[in-house]
Order: sequence, then C-alpha cells, then structure tokens
Amino acid sequence: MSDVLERPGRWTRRLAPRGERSPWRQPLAVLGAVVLVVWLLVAALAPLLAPFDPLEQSGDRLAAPGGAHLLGTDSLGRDVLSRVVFGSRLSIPVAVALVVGCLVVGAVLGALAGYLGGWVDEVVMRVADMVLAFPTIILAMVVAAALGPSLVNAVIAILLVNWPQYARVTRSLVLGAKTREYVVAGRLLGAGPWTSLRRDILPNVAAPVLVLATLDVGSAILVLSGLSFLGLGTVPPTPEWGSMVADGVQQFDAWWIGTSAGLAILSVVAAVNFVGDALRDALDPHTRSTVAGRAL
Amino acid sequence: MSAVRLAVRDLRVELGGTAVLDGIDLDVPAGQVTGLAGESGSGKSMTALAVLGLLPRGGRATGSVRLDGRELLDLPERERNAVRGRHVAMVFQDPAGAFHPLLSIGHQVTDHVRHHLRLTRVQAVERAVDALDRAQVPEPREALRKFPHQFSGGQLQRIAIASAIACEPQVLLADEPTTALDVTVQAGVLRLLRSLSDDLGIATVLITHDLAVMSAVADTVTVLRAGRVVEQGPRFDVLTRPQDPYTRSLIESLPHGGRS
Amino acid sequence: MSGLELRGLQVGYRRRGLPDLRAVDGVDLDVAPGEVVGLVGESGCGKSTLARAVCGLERPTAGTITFDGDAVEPLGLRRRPARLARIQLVFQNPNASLNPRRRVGNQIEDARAIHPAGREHAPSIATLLADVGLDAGVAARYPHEFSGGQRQRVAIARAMAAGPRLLIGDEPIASLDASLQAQVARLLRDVAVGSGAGLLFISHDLSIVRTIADRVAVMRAGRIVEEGPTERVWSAPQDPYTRRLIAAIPVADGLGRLPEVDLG
Repeated sequence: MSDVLERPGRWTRRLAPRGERSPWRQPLAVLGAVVLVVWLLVAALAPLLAPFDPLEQSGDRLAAPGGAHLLGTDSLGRDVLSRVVFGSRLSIPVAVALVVGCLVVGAVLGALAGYLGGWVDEVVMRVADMVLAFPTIILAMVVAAALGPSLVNAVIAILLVNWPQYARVTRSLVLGAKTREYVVAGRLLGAGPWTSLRRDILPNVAAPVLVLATLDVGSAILVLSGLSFLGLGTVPPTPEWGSMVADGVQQFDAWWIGTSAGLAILSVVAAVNFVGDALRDALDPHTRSTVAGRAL
Repeated sequence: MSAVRLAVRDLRVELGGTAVLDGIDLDVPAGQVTGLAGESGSGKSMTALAVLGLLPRGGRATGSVRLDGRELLDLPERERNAVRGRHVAMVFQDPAGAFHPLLSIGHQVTDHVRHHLRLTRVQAVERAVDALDRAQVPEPREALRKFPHQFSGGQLQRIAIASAIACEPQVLLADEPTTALDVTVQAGVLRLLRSLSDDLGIATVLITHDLAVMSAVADTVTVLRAGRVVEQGPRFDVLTRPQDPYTRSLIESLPHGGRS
Repeated sequence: MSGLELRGLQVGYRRRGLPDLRAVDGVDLDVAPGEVVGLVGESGCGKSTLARAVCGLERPTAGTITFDGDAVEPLGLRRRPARLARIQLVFQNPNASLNPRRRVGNQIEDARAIHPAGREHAPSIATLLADVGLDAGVAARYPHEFSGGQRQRVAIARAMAAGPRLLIGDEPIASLDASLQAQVARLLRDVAVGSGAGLLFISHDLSIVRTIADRVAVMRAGRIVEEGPTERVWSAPQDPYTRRLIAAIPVADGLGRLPEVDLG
C-alpha cells in the first residue's frame, strides 16, 4: 500500500518542468557565456589582434573612426581599438580578482560573525558599519592616496572598502540558516561548529552571495576606473578601460574614445550578470542534475 | 433535495500541457457541506482554484462550472472578479497568512464588502460586525480595531470565515480550514461551518485530507486521486462501505481503521 | 537509573516588556529504554521546548535532565559529547530536516560515524534503509527526489544510524498526509523499540499516539496535567483538559457527529 500512497506529488514535479528551468536553455546565459569567452580570447591574443601598438602614436590625433583606425584615435594619436583590446588584459582580470578578494574576505568574516555571534559579531559588524558609513569611492580615494598611486594599491583600497557588503549579506544568511532543522540535526549527529558551517550552512547560502558577486564585477571595473580617472589607479599610459572612459569625458567631441571603452565595460558586466543568473540556477539542487547532464 | 448552487461538469485543468484535473463532476447543493477528500497533489485545491478562476499561470480550465445556472468559465475577467468574494468566497488553511499583518481587521473585513456591495463605510462596518457575531468572534466591534497578531489561530480562522460570509455568498470554499488548528479549536470551527450551511443555507465545499473531519461535517464525500474522482456518495456510504480500493486504503490507514 | 529522567524541568524565555514566559514549567518525566512514551499537547504547550531541552538545544532555567545517569548539558558551540549523541531527534518537517544539497546516503553516513559500535560495526546504510522500508539504491538520491513520507523515513533511518538509546519524535507525523501518519508513527515505534531504544513521541494527535505509546503524558501550559498507561488515559481520563482533548477528536465513522466544543 505504501507504494500506492507515497508517490512524490505529481504537481510539484510538473509545475517545474526540467527543461524550462535549465540555465543552458536560457538564451541570455548562452549569450553571456559566449561574450565572456570572446573577451578572454581577445585578452589572450591581444598582440595578434590589435592592429597597432596601444602605447605608440600611430595616426593623427583624435581621428574619427574609419580607415586604418576602425575606432579612431585618442588625444595622443593612439589607436583606440588597440587600447580597448589591450585594456581587456588589465580590466577583466583585475575586476575578477577584486570581486573574488572581496567575496572571500567578506564571506569569511560575515560567516564567522553570524555563526559565532557574541563579541566576534560585534567587532566585525561595527567595523563593517564604519566602512559602509562612507561613500565607497571617497574612502577608496583616501586609502589609495595614502598608499600612493599604483594598480596594486588601488586594488587594496577597493578591497578594504568593498568587503562589508559581502559580510553583511553572508552574516544575515548564516543567521537564518543556522537554526534550520538540517543544521540542528547535523549538530545533534556530532558535527562540530566548523563542520556544521562548512558542510551544512555555507553551501546552502552560497547562491545569493555568488549572484551578488557577479553583479559586482561591473562596479569593480567602474570603481577601479574611477580611481584611475582621479590619477590614483593605473598609471598612464597603461591602457585600461576606466581611464579611457575618463579620457573620453575630457575629449567630449571625440565620442568614440569613451564610447568604445564604455561599451566594452557594458558588454562584460552584462555577460557576467547573465552567467550569474544561470549560475544561481545551477547551484539549486533541484536543477543541478539537469545541468550536470548537459555540457557545463 | 435542495437546489444545486454550484454544478461542476467534466472539469479539466491543464498546467503546462499536463492534465492536473481530469473530468471532475461535482454538485454543491445549498445548505449542505460537500466534502472533497484526497491526499496532497490529488487536485482538491486545484478544483477550488478553478472554480474561482484563480489558476496558476499557464493553467487552462475546460468543461463547465455553473453557479445558479450561470457559466463561470466563459466569463470575462471583470465579471469573474465580481463573482469572486461576492457569490463564491474562500477560506484558506493558514489563517495567519490570509491577513495582511499591518492592516486592522476592520480594514480587511470591510474592504471587499464596500467594493462588492457599494456600501458606505458605516454600513460596511455594521455588516462586518454582524458577520463576526455570526462567526462567534467575541466582542466584534473591538475586534475590528485590532490587528491580526492580536488573535489566536482559531480566532483568526473565525474572522476569515466572517470575512468570507460578509457578502452573503451562495458558495463557500473551505480549503483545509482546520488543518492548522488545535484539535480543541478545530471542533468549534467545524461546528461553525456546519451551522453556516444549516442556518444560512450556504453551499459549502469542504476540502480536507482528514477523513475524520470529513465524517464529522460533510453530507457527501467526493474522493479525488491524481486529478480524477474515484468515489462519490453520501458520507456514511463512502466512509463505511467504500467501493473504490483507494478509498478503502485511505480509511484503513487511519488509526484503528477509522473506528474509535 | 538508565534512560531519560526529567525532574522539575523549567525552561523560560525573557520577553521584552512582558513577564518571562515559562514554556516548560516544572515537568517530571521518565522514558526507560525500550519504552514508548507519548507526550500530547496543543500548540504552545511547551512540548517542543521540552524536546529541544532534552537534546541540549535549550538551557533549562531550573530542574535537571539526566540521561543514563549523566546530566544533559546545553550544546552551545561545542561538539556534542558522544554520550549525549545517543539522544536523537526526528523533526516535524522532513523537508527541512535533511540538507538539500547532500545525497541522503552521505547524511546517513555522518550519523553512522558516531555509532557507539564504531563505523565498521554499525548497521550498513542498506540495512538502515531497509528497516524503514526503502531500497538501498535511494542512498544516492537528493532529498527533493523523495515524497514527504519517504523523506521522513530517511530522517528516521539517519537518526537510527547513530545508534540512539533514546529517540525523540517532535511532531514527526504532523506534516504528512493523513494516510501516512499512523503508518510512519508505527514505523518509528518499531525501529526504536526493535533496537532497544526508548521513544518519546511528541504529538498533538492523541488518536495516533494512542496506537503506539505504552504511556501517555498530557501537557498543557508548560505542565503535565495527566500521565498514565495509554489505555487508562484514553478510556478513563482524570483531568478535565484530557477529557476535553479526547472529546474534541473527530471519528471517521460516517455518522456526522460533530466533536465537542472546547469551552475552557
């Protein structure tokens, strides 16, 4: 009889047909993945793809797109296309490294604060509050200025001001998760606090934090470019998208400079977000088996 | 035999291309409690939602649902809205979830009354007080000023029922109305539902997986399984002489096989 | 003394701007190995708080909890000591009590690791699953691939894998379909008693508790108002609250009898 009565609810299954929720059926996710792969190839093959040396004057100053210079030249007569291509070698890895760094620092501190509570929670969260109380870019400016202008220092500055948002989100997720029954069950079955955190809690709160991180890749590129714009990040003449946008703002009539770099940033940010959405679905255990079945 | 208020014929519901209800026939007479039994996923709640026209996205209902002879499935959304809450009302399982936590009871119990019956605020309040009184909510006037969290689950369910009957509907759909309640509180709510049919002539559809509850209040019992009717008949016959093996297995699975 | 012993157990909560709430207010209760005790009460009576206190998840404000002669200490952030890990809990909602991201076999394996006989001599996953009526093959599945009733069977198998001497079921059947409730309650009794463990079965449903318990305790507002052998409490309840509780239970006899109304 138990066989008759204990079939899984047929609706719950049918309401969520497998194919519909599978991320690789979503055209945007595929588009995002393709765009990212293209950018990675561009970064890897930059010397082969770029028509000119990004640092050399290769034409007239502020030449409009067309002819030898597909995207025109900037105020020093450097080829914009070549600078966008070479810029990807810096902007993309630095942005990703920044986000990963913030994610790791923020998630670890947030998880400890949420799980341990007490004074650990107080200290971590008060420090986070202090950092969050300042506008990000201003605080990053202060730190970067104190450390001196260089790419590494700019990265450190952004890391210092950006981790608290991850810490906040992770903490609240861990707080909610640690009283869930399967976590308590794990503790009753002898799991110590570290096992509990690593095995039962973190995998179940990872999805929203990772999605937050993908959304953050774009703002990381923008903050870095902001610092570069203010002369606190990458040092000229290094090609970097953010400083190119800044350059474009100054040469307003030469719209192609800022627009080219801006579109490059936009395409990466959008692509990462699309893939981030797919990632969230893939992390859901209800759809994971389907995802694994396809070429992930 | 009293007049059939709600007549469901060959009701089919498809969700995303699969049939979740497959040819449901159901008569709901005035003054009676019509029981709809079955396990989770059998289609009991879906039947109620189809009657109300509140199917989930992608759901499509075919067949016929007639309220006092008037076909509901063909009605445009506007007229459907006018029927919902006015002529066919619903009570849900979780009374705490059925109320907006930040609005007063008075606000929530009079809103639809004013909308459907075009009453003034004062008239609507009078009507709400009558309905709360009818549902045996103590001190109805004070209750209107309070907020949901100030009531126990049992009281809230009485208020939800009062809200449902405030527009004097012909049909009341009660979906597991006592499942979330304590057994001693459940008894009172069951009596209330029974009295609504007995005294006001409301045609009640009682949806529950609990055959003991069914036995206490329903006049007829329809057993659903996987979207189909497997057994239908007077309460006593279905519970004591079930014809279908599935119904029999449900009854046998009760403690002591349903006998006390 | 072996088994669980509660003496004058009190668990309270501070409430802002309100008097302290005594969820459990002076409870004496024993559960011997191999014995099935039903703890019956309605929502808010303190029965779940009592279960959590016995597992070390709540700190008693007064009274003692001893298990096989040892005091039960609050769990806090430490690892649970081995002697206390022989108290295991089956939760109300099997959808929430299994980690959704891990295969059920791995979750049962965690529990086997703390079996007092050691992992080598603990019953195998296949045996544990067979005891609850599931195939060994389901060990590779994730929780969402099971129905509610099957999930609760998995949760029972996991609790048994730890080799408990006391099993606590905290409303273990309340979120199951009616047709499964009596079945799963019976299963819980069979696996607990079959292994020589005691079972504290907490439920609001006296009609089901009655079918599996040797002894019943009725709880109301933090206190036990009546306790005795199941058949005695059912057929000759002494306390007025117990009488009301029994009178309110509807019976599926097809006679259309409305249960008595609680006037208290």
